[in-house]
Amino acid sequence: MNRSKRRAAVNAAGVLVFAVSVFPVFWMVSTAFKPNDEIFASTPRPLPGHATFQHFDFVLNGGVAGVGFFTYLRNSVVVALATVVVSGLLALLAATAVARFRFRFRTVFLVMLLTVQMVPAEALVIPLFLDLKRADLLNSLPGLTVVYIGFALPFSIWMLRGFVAAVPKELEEAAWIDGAGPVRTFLKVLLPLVAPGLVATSIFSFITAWNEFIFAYTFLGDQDKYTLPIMLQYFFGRTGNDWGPIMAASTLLTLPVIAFFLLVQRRMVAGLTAGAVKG
Amino acid sequence: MARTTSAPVDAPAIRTPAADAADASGLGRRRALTFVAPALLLIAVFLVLPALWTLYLGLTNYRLTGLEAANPEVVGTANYSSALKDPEFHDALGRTLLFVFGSAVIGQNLLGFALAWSLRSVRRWVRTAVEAVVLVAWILPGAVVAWLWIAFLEDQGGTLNAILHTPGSDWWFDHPMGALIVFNIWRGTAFSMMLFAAALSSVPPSQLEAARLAGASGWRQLRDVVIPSIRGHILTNTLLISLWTFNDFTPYLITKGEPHGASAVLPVYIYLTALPGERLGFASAISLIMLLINLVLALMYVGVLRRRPA
Repeated sequence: MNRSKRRAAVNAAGVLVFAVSVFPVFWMVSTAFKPNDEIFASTPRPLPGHATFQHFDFVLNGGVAGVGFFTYLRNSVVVALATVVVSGLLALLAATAVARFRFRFRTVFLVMLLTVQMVPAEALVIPLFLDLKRADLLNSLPGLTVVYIGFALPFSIWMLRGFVAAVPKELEEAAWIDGAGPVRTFLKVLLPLVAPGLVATSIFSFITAWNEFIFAYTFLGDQDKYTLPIMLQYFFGRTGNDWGPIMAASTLLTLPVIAFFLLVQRRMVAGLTAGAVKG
Repeated sequence: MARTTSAPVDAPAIRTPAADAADASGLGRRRALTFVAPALLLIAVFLVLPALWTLYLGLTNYRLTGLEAANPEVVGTANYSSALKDPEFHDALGRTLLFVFGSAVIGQNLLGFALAWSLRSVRRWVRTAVEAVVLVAWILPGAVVAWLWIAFLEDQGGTLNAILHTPGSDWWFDHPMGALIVFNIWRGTAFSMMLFAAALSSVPPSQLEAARLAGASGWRQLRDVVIPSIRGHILTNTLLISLWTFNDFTPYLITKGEPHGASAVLPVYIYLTALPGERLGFASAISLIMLLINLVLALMYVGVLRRRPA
């Protein structure tokens, strides 16, 4: 077959996949800006004719269930940031140990990390629910956060281990010979070189915590403690006609994810597949 | 991408030269262990012990409220035997297998490979754009994509009905599993695409060139050169996406298991049994069965990684 024709066909298929992939997201943003009569028109148009902020206004100013959007936003941000900071710190320590030292059970630890990454959250909801209840941490954001930290750690350690191992050991030895103590060597030599890995790992745990549903849904009872995904699921009826506010709230919930994602897209593509490929 | 479990990022190079040398920065082994201790403690408390506790809970008649909540009794293997005989459990397991095979093993695998294969030769900006949007579908919060797909397939005013001129067709009600499969292909293909793209770039161009000079068609090149040299990656990919799909809770956000449980895959079934149903012991028994299936898949994955030469 003629080469340029085939190339055109492949390009067209690429455009089609692009369109199908992007369509629901495009529709979300477009609907968020449409006035109600355009949303419910019998033949909806792709773009808003008269763009409006009324749905964003409604969502942001407590039109949903009377609790202000910013309460949920604050809950989500606090939980996600605390998860990122604590799990990043603990994972960096553990990754350094795993990448730099030989100790007993090191291989066991590594295989354990790999295995527990596969543990499904749903299967642990019941014991964790009972644990938190007993520790009086049910219906509390700190309780939810420690669970997120536990779940973020295996992947973070695994990812950071590669970054630490990639730093030439000679650099640390040089600092050591020049009289820097262990803490200084860690802070001045290792940390700056591992920083890009730490950023990628942090964004990954941020997105995971930000998006998480089942734990937050099961553990949080009071409305004012809900995180954004719970608010989005809970306050809109399944068959309701709230498409404007639903899409406006969805857009707001999506923004940080997209923003962070754009920061690390290249690294993520390379990083996520490196392990599976390099062997 | 909204998954609590996630892809391992690099290979378990369990014995590296660096690791075999004595420790470099002179921290000492004891300190190395104190470095690991906090993370290990949290992983033990929130992942390992709950998994073991699931085993115990599955042996009791624990309920959320009432007499059994205060004094759960050990009922032995009754939960396991009734789960294995329970038609609802069989149905949920069957639906889950359909979901995994349809959307992951077949759907995401084939589409991901097709995308990676065809994107090799397109212009760079097309490739970057397609990669970006496919990835966005993968990382969006489950709570958001659930609404997007409810809106897309809704009976009244759903966008698909507007496009197909089939007003009033309720896709989520009439074909819940089919709709979930399409949804999950849309959502999860990104990973397969990225993995296969990386794998394809490792196929030696000289072999492809030789096959082409020998007159092999595109299909023959694929079958005789490409597939054999990325067989390991196909296996890895299939295992990982099967695991994720098997454990995906997003179907609950879309259909809540409706209509009448016809879309309750295993994680949804566990949730419905445990919390609205309040049968914690029984749900724990099913959780354990689910954990065991996961463990088998995870061990297969670890095995594949370890066997592969560096």
